[in-house]
Amino acid sequence: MDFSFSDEQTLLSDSVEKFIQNDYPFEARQKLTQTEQGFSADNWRVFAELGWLGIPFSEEDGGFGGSAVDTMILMEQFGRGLIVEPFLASLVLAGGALKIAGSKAQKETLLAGLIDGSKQAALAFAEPQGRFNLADLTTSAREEGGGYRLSGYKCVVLNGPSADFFVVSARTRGEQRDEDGVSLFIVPADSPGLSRRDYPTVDAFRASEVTFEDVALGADALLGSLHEGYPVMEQVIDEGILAVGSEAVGCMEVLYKDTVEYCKTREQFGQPIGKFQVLQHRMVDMFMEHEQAKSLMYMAAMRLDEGYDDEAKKAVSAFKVQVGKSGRFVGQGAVQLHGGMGMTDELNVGHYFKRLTMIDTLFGNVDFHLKRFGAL
Amino acid sequence: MLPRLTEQYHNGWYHPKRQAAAETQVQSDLSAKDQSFVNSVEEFLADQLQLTVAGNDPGQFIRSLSERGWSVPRWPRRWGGAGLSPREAWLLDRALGLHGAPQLDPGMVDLIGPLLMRLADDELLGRWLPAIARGESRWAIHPSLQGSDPVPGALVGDRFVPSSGRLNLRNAAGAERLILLARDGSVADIVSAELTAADLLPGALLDPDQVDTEGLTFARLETNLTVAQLAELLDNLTSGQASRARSWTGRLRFRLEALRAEARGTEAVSPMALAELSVALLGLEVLEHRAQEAESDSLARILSIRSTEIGRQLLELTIEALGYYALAAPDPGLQHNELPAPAMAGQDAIGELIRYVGGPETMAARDRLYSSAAGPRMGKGKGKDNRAR
Repeated sequence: MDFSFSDEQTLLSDSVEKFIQNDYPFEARQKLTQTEQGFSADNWRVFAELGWLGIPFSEEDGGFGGSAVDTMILMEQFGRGLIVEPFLASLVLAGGALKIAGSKAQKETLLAGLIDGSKQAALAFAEPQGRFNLADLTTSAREEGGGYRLSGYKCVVLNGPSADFFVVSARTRGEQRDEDGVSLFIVPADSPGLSRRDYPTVDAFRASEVTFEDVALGADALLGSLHEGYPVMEQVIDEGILAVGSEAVGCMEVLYKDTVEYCKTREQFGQPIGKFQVLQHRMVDMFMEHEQAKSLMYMAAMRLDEGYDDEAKKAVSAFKVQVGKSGRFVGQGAVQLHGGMGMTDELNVGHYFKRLTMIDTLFGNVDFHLKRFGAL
Repeated sequence: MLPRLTEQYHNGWYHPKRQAAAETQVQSDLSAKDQSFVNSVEEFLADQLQLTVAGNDPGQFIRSLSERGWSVPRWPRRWGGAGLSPREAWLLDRALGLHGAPQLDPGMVDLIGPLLMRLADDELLGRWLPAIARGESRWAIHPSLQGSDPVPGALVGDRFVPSSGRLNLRNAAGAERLILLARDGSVADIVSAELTAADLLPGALLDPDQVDTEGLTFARLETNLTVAQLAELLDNLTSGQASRARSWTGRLRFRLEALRAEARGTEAVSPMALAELSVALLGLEVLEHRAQEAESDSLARILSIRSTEIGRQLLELTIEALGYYALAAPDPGLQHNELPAPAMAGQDAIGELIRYVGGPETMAARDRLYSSAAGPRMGKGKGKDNRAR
């Protein structure tokens, strides 16, 4: 098992790290989160110019990477910087669905726009009743006049406010929870009958509740094969888990390192609190949790690069379980060791913790993925 | 498929329904040289484990291992070892662990043997080490060598004057020799302590974990090490490279699969608890590979801590799975083989669990990891007050 990165991958990691150090300080990030858009269009252009938006895609699809390990490296660094630009939602999720199931024409018109930064997208897959079941859909599409009519409701659509188009999962046949009969559609954001309610999430990202009222779609709106969208969704979400989990690993690293640094200076009883054995052990446990999560991150990335099969699914679920547990432990440890300061808005600790807590719930929590891991 | 051994031969939990491992494992992309070595180990296991099971003789397996120097793989050849590199020793240990093969006590291999090599002369080593390598000689060790217990006694001339009537020891059951630390000279002065290997007299009482100190004879190891130097030596012997030369996960994987096989189709163990343990072990297996590739001592320390904790969780699940049979206590009125197998497993598991809980290993290991180069140590940096942000 080779854990070393190629020269290109090391360069990528270094360049993202430098960008965060020089151009993405915590204070700047906080200002961005207060804007209506929630992120910087200038940063997005920089990402495009540096080629980062093409990382999840192969050269054949117009990208610059295409491997899960490449995305992992990028997202781990994004986690360190607590980046709020919608890379996950636009590129990994919506772009991922296009990458897996898109026709040549769809890739040429839509994927190219995502990669050059001129367009943004969102994956509308979650419904209130479905919890983490991707097949539990009340949103439906019916064939009509050579096209489709889409009706339904999607919740917490990440990057919904900035999306130029949505990739939407809908039932085209079968019962509400059947895996068969799920289809994917590309829906322009300005389609008649589509309405949004936008809001910020706890971790300062942006999301929407999206309603589709008899939205008319052409035949070319279908993404992939009719009724066979579930495996695509499952793969997209698993690739999303790797991406967002890698981000969590980056968050954890910052939290435990900042906590160690803080404990060197904060004094109680005439000495730095880091001199106390019980706190040292707590920091060791935070360090170990981070390393364990990082190990499973490598495992999941390598499995996904070897091919999307049950082994890859198991590795992804194992990684998500570990990220949920480790993220909670590291986040709580950081807040507690920082004391009251850990809960304030001006300190970064609480913001990393919020992101880690969101990531735990995103795409299935610990219990959900433990069950999935055990069943596979 | 290689045969799985029974409870008699290892510390795992045997049940006849045990099946082959089916769980996801880290598939290591080994170099051709490493793969060739692993293949030779697999061939050896295929032959020797069959014979061991058929002959009902775990000692035979250890002797076969020792003929290749594999019972103490990193020891020099002249003392019965094979002179393997840490990586080869790890590959060997992992293969043995995954098949649940009998092995010598790691304390004998990694601690006592190397300690003697550091402190004893060739004559004594020639007498002691080959017998240890063949599994014919077992030693106990006083915990003061690794923990903070008081030095158990003093040397006055040729006499050992114990500080109490009995010594609490590790691995005393079945041991025929004892290694302990004694003050030299003034009882109050422990600055220049000496290491003493004590020959137990034939017939000396060896209660489990306790030994009478009356009537011991000694082979004294001349050394001028201070207590601090000795502690550092012991720390080096049990961590770093030595940690990386062991597989911490192979035997855990074997035991987990045994438990999974036992629990399959029953409600003996919560499937969620099993899945949780599987995830933790999977992560540890990747970490073990990372420690090998990066030759990282800090990752190896994580392995030693987490594997101990996973081992403890495994024991807890084992006891949970046994149900009522976990309650059975040893009965002098019953012959050993009259007890149902699960009851025997329950006794072993609970005894082992107590040792896990009571052992200072993970506490001390956390201290060492905190201070290690790659760990989250205090260091000499000025630190950073995040409030300044």
